[in-house]
Amino acid sequence: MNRLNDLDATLPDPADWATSRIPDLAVLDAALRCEICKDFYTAPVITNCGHTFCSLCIRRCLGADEKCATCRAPEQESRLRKNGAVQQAVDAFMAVRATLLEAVSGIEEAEVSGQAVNAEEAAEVEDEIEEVADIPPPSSQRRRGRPRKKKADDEDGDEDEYRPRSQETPPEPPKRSLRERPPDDGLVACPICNRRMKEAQVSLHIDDCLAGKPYIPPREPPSLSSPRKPSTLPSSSAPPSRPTLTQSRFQPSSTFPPSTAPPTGLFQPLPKITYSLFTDTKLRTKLRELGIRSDGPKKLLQDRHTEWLNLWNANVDSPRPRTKRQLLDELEAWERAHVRPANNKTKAPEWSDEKWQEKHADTFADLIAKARGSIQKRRKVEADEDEVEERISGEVEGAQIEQLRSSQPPPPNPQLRTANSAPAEMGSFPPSSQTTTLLPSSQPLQQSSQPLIQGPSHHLMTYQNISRPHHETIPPHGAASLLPSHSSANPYPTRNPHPPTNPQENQYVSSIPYVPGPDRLPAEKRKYETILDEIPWAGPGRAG
Amino acid sequence: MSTFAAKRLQKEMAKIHQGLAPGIFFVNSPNLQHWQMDIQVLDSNPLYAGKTFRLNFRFSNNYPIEAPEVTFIRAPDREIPMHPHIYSNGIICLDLLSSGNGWSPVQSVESVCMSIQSMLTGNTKNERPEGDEAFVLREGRSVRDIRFVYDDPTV
Repeated sequence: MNRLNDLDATLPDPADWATSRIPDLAVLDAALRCEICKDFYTAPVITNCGHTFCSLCIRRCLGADEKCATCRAPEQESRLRKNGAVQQAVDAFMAVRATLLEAVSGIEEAEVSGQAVNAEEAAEVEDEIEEVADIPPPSSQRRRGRPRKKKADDEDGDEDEYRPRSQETPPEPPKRSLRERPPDDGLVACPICNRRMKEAQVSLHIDDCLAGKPYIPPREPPSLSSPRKPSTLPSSSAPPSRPTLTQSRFQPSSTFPPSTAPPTGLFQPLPKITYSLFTDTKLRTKLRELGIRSDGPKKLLQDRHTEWLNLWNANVDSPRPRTKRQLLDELEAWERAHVRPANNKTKAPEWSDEKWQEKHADTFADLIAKARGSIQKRRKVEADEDEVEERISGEVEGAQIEQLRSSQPPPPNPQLRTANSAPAEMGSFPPSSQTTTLLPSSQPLQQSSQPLIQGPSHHLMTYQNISRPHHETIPPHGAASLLPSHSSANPYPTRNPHPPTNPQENQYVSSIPYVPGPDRLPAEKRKYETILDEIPWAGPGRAG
Repeated sequence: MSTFAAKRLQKEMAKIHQGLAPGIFFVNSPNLQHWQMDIQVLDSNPLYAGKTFRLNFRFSNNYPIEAPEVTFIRAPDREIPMHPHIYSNGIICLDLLSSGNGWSPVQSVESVCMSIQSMLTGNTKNERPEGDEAFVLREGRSVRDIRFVYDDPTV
């Protein structure tokens, strides 16, 4: 940001007066500054509690917290009122600030008195100057850098509307420059009719003006010219015939945008809206109606709308309103500065997942080992139990399938469900296909072991793959037990009757989600939950 | 960084270079959004006498509407001061530093430093906040996202 560096050297500050011959002027300087932006008041408004701020500053503040920034008293945006007296004081002070600073900061005595003779600004400090006039000025303290650089900075027409325009003011008599400072629009006044136009047009215009022709403004946004028509200024010397003439001659012309609104209607304050009453679409439409961007998520739409209201309403308070184009540019600048990545919020700027993982690698390894150990232990116990069950169920299976064939409709088979492994699919299984699948009843053992072969995907999941073990995750043995198990055909408990053929392959946790079955055994449930409780979550990330 | 925030920080920086309140020193700022300040407690409080503490300021785009993130940091010869509202990782539980609670855009870096200075001056307890160990473990959070409850009106 090059501008920042420029600012650094040229920022006017109350401390500028500290080295002058009237250091007390710092108090006056500070009194004319907004406490929020620490700059001279821009379109000052007064709160109900009597504190004055820039319109834009306090509107932004109230958007965040509905309290006066100075005294924390409750305040509402709608109760802010323009503070014209402060505006005048700021304008007046800023018009003379550079001159005054030079005058009191140690130029030769003669120069000081010479300048003070006719300049109006000297009036407010006349007494002080007389008092200190005898003191020889310390020439080493003369501040020449600031005012001069200031001019150059202001030239490039940035958004700083109300900085002193030392280059514009001096050629004019001080009296005028105080009453009505030329608006900051980059235009110059015609010396004859005082109308403002672009510099390049002045010479052409002067001929016309002398010839008595009315000034025809070039094509430009109506908002730019209309609020600044000289006729609205108190000291207007505009020819009285001109407005009607211009209008009658050029209104139908296509060179003018048809929407030439009257100056008064141009900058009406915009009302606030309750965002909760607006859907995304409605809000988008609203933004489009206002003529601002309407893309992005709802939060952004809201923020953008709020910022636009702040800019717009602050502009309404300004005695020298800017054009909508300038406001849009400002909104665009706001947009660039404020949009940040959505996930930025929960992490500190220096946070790194990798570092966290590295730092706590030992803890993670320890937890994983513990979890493995406890599962191995449990599996050993189960394997013993299953061996007994296997023998019994092998005998029964044949009879069971016979029964399935004869009963109408056939009750769902637990083995089949395990094979499909997704509980959601269970209901959709047609009974007929179920029977067909089960047909090779002569080999009950093979049949029932099929699930383990068919669906290896869900027990190949390793601990490393599981980012956070949770209570919905259960081991493969438990999977079968979760299903509604006690069909009339199967008198046996639900546990998978076949121990894993390859224990290495099956020592991992299944990904089958837990669906609370109607007859899940409470004891069993407790058992699995205890096991899972032993596995504290050990993934990397934001604890909390 | 928005122009609004940048301008305001520039002004504060200019002011700082012209002088600061006693016991407050500017250390450095790698960029405009990130400043470090040193503070000293000026009276003879035995807890902090003769020590200097370093504060880290981080400004958001919305400064000064939004409060800056202010924490104590460790550095050579700079510790985290003992205080019942300062955690051992340097996070300060002070309503003044929280947007929507005590923060006001009228505050500045200097005024925040002075407030913290006075917070230390008034303290007599050589202790950390309750639950400090657990709190410190939850590192990596942005200070902005921590919801403090401000229940001690004596600070």
